[in-house]
Amino acid sequence: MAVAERVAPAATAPPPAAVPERSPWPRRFVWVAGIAALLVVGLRFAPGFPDRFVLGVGSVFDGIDTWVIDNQRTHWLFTGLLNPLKDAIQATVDGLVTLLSRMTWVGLVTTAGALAGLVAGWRMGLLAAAGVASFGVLGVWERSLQTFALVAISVVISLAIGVPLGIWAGRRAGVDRALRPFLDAMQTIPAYSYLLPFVLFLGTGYPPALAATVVFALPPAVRLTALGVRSVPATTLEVATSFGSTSRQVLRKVQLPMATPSIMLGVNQTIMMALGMVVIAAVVAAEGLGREVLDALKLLRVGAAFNAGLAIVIMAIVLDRVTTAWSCRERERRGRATRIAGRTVSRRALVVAAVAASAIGVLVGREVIRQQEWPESLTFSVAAPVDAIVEWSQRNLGDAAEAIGAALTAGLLDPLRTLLTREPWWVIAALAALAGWKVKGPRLAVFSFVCVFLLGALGTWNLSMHTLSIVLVAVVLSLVVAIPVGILASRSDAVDRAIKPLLDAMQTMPAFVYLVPVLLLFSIGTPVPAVIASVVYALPVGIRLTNLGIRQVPATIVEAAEAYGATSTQRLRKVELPLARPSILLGVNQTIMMVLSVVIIGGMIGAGGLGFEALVALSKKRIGQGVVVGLSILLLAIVLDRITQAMGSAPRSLRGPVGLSGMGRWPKLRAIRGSVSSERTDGTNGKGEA
Amino acid sequence: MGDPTVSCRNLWKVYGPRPERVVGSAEADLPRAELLERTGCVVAVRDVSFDVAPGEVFVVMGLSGSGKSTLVRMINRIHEPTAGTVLIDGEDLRACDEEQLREIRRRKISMVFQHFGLLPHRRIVDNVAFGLEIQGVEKADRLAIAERVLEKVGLAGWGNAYPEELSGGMQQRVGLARALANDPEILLFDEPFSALDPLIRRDMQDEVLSLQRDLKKTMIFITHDLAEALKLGDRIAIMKDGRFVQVGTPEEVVAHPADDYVADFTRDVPRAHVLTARAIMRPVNGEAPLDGPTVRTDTLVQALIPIVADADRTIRVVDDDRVVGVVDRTDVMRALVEEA
Repeated sequence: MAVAERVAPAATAPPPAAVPERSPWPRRFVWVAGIAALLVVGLRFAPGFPDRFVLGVGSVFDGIDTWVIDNQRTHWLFTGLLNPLKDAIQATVDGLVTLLSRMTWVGLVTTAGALAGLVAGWRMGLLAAAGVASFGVLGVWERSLQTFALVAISVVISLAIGVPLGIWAGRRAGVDRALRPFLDAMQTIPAYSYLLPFVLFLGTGYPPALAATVVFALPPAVRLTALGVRSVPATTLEVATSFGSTSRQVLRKVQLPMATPSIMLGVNQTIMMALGMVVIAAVVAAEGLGREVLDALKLLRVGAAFNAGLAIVIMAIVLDRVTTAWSCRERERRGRATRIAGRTVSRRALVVAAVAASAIGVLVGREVIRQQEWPESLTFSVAAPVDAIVEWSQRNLGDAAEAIGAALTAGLLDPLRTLLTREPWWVIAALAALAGWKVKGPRLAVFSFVCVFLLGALGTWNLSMHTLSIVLVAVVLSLVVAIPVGILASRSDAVDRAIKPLLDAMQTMPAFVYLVPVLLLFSIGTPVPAVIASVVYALPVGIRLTNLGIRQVPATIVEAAEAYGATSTQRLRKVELPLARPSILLGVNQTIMMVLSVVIIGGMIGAGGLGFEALVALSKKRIGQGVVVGLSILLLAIVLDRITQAMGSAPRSLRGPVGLSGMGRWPKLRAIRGSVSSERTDGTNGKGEA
Repeated sequence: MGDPTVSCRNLWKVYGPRPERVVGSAEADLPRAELLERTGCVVAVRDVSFDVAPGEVFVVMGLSGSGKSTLVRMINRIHEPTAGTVLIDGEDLRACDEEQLREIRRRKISMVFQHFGLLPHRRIVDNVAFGLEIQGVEKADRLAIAERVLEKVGLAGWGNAYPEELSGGMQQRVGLARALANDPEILLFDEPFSALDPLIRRDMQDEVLSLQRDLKKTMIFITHDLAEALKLGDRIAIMKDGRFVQVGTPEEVVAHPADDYVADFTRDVPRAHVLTARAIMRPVNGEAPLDGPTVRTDTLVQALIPIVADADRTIRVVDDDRVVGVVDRTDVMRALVEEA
């Protein structure tokens, strides 16, 4: 009976035409073989890009150079706009530095502690005071003040532009759409590529550094403000409207308060981005810690570079933790009075106390101790010990590192670079087009092909291929480490907990910081240090997104797999990894973009390629060369970004609600990092709304 | 009853490009998919007219997608009607400029929302005072009013809490309090209790009924729950595909469904709880002798059952001491059996 029943449906409805069982292997094999054949065939043709297609883009811009020099003192553009702007920036930063130094070191330490304590709690107050004091201890007091002044003013300007723009974009979808491509571009382009125009029009020093920093730090302020305003639920807006709110009332009483956590995250992000520009700022001769790092690196004084780098890291950590704690407290406290030692203290009393403490600190510093600068006797530079470590490790580990470096060079870097430069340009362009076609369609294929062609047409073919080869090697190495670690972290809460603080710390540090310790071991002059540094720099994002993707797999689906008796490996391979794919691919995209940014900076420590060329153009003020290199970096970044973003374009869960799609390197990571805490807020909001 | 407080005439709401051309056209009667394909438009509300008297509870019942939420939002013009008129106390809402419209929203109409719509960043008391704050009422005054209203909805002492600290039922009490704080003439309810569990929902319905006895507001209440509609409504409108298919008292809807759609809805209603003697009585045509027990016209069938069981004579149905009809055991039985 049971058998008959089971047979019956088959009898009535014949099975559909059997789908031939096809393993993916033959198809993949065809692809691999096809690409290999293309590469082999390519080797028979002239390598690189033919000179006759190279456009003289550079020489066009060289004219601008002389024009600027000739007209700097006469043309209205300079006399009426740029020169006053330049002077104003210079005066403001100088003024702030002077103000800070006149507050004296005692005053600054107390003020930093009191302010941080006021907004973020006494622990953060102590952290801030200790942080400021450490600038003195490390013997980089004045440099730190300069860096802080530059960062502070850049952040204020970025926020003054970014927050209103973000509010506007959050309220009007049209504005948002119009702004998006600009913000995308600002975040994808490595800062190097737009430094030169700023130098040309604003000279050297603080003005171009500030302008470049604002460009770099503006996008997260706009994006996160817009995201916050936009995420206010439609019902809540309806509520406000139904009670007769004016548009202004809706903004002031509903949208802004509800967007505050997101805006605070934007402030935090803007600060971190601005700090990430410190060394780049030094490239255009702005004073500060970056200058110290750069000068030391040029002279191969690793210890001194490390010393100044440490100060930047401390500044980053203090600002990050204080602003994060501030926004968390704002959310929790919501205007309630603070309790200290069991007694309720009003907010006003705290403000008075903080101001009083700062004032006393400044007074003591000016009138009692009478010393602006941090006392020489209290300094302890880590340069000497670090140099000792460098020497020691070079003596003892140098050979091993040398061997690793040599293996990396001989085994991966050199062959890949040789291959990429030996191939004719059209093979590379065809491969890019193929990739574009496969992940998205004909439009991306054409776009990729044209971009690669333009790389050649700009005349930077070999440099670009050189940079590309380093990027590819670093990306592969980074992913080889990151994905397994991410899987491990997703499977074990203990591992997750253990690496979380480490990843947090790694993500707080500006990219170039990784270059310094790497130089301890690997010799300058090869791309190896840049590869290692970029691998390390990009690791957290790969680990995080793999981990996040797997952890986001709905529990019911995992349960279903287990109910059918899947082993742990089967669960991973058949359920978790496929579902985590979008998130992991986003990780690949982010890894590539981060690696690219470090490899470009790595130009200054011997990685060569486009980064080095950009540095040369900047230092020699060759505008044409600078523009060409800048455009090349831009093209490379765009092609890599578009193709890898299309690969992972499915993850609605990641891109839509959290708004990650268009965010650049850092904010994306941060948004993900923040998503853990914002899940909680969303949860409560959800409870409030649902 | 006097002039209606809310009066809607030929209201249309069409979404899509150039929606005006669909209004009243032959195309408007096409099936949804075909209309969408031909014009790119979707009709949410079509040609709806109704009056709500002062102090009346008018319930609009329909399934999701029937257009009821759109309809209620046209009464305070959060959604702009495509065609038709809305009169609030005789004032044409669609003729109002921004300023006048805001004034009406601030003083005359308040709304209670399905998902409560509380502002998570404000204390309960500030949520309740929101409408007053928007009107520009002084802080001390509005907080005092808010505390009073909170007491009225049974949340005295919760003013300093935040929405997330309250249960769903309590949150909706806050939503109710917020609407009452403005002391509006008209209350709009957009499926206010559908997110609550059944017991809490019943409490809230009772709360609304008791508030209604005290305050005599004009209410327009949207729901997808027929039992809720029958319990709360003085009159019920059944809505389907943007149209009112039937408007009537709960009893009329249950006793005389206008079409199969309504009948389908009302089939499971325990009729004895809704129908009254008036609905099942027969006219008096010379039957003798008329000396049985008397009941009032609004006696529920439920209450009639023991009476007909005990009496062996035909029961007289009276309205103001005048006999208007008769009921006997068979009538009651039939009314109950039709339930199935």
